[in-house]
Amino acid sequence: MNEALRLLDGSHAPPGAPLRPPETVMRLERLGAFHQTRLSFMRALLRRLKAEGWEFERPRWDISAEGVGVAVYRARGPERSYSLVAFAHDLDPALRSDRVIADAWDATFVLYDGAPNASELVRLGANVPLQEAGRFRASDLILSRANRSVRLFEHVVAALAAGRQPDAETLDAVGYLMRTTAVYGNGKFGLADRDRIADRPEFAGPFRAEMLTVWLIRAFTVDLAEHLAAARAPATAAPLDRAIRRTLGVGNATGLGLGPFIANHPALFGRWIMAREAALARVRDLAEASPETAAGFRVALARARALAAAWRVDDERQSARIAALEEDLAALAAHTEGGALDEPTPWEALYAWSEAELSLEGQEMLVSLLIEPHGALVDELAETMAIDEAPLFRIDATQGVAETIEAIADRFDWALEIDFASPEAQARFWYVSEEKLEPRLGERAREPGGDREQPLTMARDVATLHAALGAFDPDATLAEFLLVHPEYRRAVRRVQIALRNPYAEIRGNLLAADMVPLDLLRCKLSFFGATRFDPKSDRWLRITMYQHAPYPDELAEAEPDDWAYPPPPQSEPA
Amino acid sequence: MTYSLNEIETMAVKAGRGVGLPWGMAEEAGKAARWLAAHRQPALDAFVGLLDLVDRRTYGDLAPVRKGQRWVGREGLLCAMTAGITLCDRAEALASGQRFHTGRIAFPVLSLPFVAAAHDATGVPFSITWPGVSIGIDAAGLHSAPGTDVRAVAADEMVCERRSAPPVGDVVQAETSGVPIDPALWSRLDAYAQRTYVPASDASRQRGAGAEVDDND
Repeated sequence: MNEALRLLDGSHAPPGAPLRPPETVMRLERLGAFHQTRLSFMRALLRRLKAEGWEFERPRWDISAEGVGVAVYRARGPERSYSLVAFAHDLDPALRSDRVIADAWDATFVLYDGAPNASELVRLGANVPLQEAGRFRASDLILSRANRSVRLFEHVVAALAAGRQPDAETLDAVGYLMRTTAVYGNGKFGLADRDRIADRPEFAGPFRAEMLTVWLIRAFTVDLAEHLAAARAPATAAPLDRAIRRTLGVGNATGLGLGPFIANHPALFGRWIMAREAALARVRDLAEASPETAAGFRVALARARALAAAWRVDDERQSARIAALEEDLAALAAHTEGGALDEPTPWEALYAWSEAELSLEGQEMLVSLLIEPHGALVDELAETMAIDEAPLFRIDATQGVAETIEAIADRFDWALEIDFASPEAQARFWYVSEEKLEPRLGERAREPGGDREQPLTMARDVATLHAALGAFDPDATLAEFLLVHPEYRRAVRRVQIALRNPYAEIRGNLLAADMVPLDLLRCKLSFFGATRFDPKSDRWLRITMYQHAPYPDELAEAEPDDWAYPPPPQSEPA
Repeated sequence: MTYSLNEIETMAVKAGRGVGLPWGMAEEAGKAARWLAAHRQPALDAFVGLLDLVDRRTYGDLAPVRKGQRWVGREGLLCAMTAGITLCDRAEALASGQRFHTGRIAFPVLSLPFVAAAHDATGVPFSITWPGVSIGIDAAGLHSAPGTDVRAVAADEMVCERRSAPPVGDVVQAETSGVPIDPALWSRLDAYAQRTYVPASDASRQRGAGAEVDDND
């Protein structure tokens, strides 16, 4: 298996290094235990902005004492500049909702290509606050909106207005002043198509423009709170302490929409997983731990324990998992101090130990920690995570029926084992709601709409394809088969993509009664670089982005990538 | 209104699915609509016309069948999209010199994206001709004589083959921005797309999106 994996284009693993097999990695339960790594998109973006000497300014701040108006933040790179245009609104608290189906927000944003002139600002002001109901142009790259955290925003403004710093515990319990509830790109509502910006180095990786937008939004959320405090009490107001400011990220509420993305972009998703697995393989392959990487690992572990200790959620399933993670990390610390890093191939030994001793949360946290001190070895892999999906779209119809049957039996054995005649195997169906054009999940036996099912049906499709191929002439080509059976074109395409990248397909039935959609969402969010996953049901969750990261006005002086775990205890703000 | 290429593709997929294309073909229809828009071909009328033709039929009625040296429609008129898909599935054979020759075909312009995909897969330049129209497709883009009108509703035959002569005429390359679309045409696509959506019920509003708890804090 590993020999075959290494031959795949884009594996980037050293010869002989142990890539984890897809049957281990691509299970939903494991994908749903992923944590951010050095390769996560937020981290890769900030490393690039720092390395290229990007400069940031706030050329416009026209926000009233009531918190209504417009602000512009500019990011200037070696070749191009971008502007975050922020519209601050006076939102009736009764209308504040994180659901994607809301239609009013505390603040709305667009990332603009270049610097908008006065007439462009007028156009944006007429459309951005409407979000989905507005129309946009190719100069408009990303659209987003955010709501205040009721718990924290007013507390911070009141404290600052009184000349005090906000209460550390209250800050810690929330972790952000505002939550984004959607971040749209790639041509939605007339925005720029991804094709238009994909060849720009700063946006060549996945979701970079979205991540830049959110990072600039974070600066706006703090500026707004400080502004309102100063407007409320000009004589006494204090700015937010810079160390405390660092502890604030941007919240995000995310629902089912991320699931179809992963399921519909197997080649891209496969690249993300491949980069992460290749990074792990490179580390496991090292003969010894240098003093620097051993020290780096210990520091990262200590900081990860602080992160886990601060990770508090209401959700019972996740609470239990966090408790297990804390125990795992304590055991890992004890094992490390017991001399684990002095062994030959210590990282490999540590990984092997974790498979026997730790929960999935713990195992995947260890993956992140193993990668963490090895930036020089793995950071380049962040540049391998994008892919032009177009060449993979065409079916190679010269392939034979018999060899396709064989490929399915080899790569999709897990799907062939599912009994789709049982109601549990098809209990759910994914659909798009007429009301809001948003992805949803229905119960097939109880709700109408199963006939309008979205194709998150790969497990079932590949099983029926396998049966149909078996009933066809084994010596025929796929061209002949598909001429008679066009209903299998999608499944055939997916099988061929999976043959090129073994991590492209999730090895799970997304229709099953016991499928947890949250696992899909968390996996994708971990690649963004999100932390503090906070499930609010089995199908939506809150996360924090950029917590502890430098702000735009700090990046030039700051370490760009030393923030994914909370700062070590000794440097914590007093 | 101007629509992005992604909006056009997404809408075309849904509309294709709405008229009953299998998902895989609907996705191919989406890529085709995007390619035609990116290459600024006046083809969305044809695309909607083809969906009208396909609507409520089964694939078998429109599937290409071989009749002698030609591919023809089972009911007499061949669907240009299924013809394009069939052609693209045989790109390697075309690249090595086989001709793809059809009988009467509806909206031949809709075959162009599939010829382009055949070129992308094989690297071989192709020509595609129907009465009054001759187009070359290669790495430089799409070549046609000035004034070529691709908007035929139907053609008596269409031929795609490996191109031997150098390309003539103007060359069109893909743009990366969207195109203005007549609202009436967009509405017709949307009407088909609507068939893929599930109307809301109280249960789906709550359960489907998963917000059973208050999200305002």
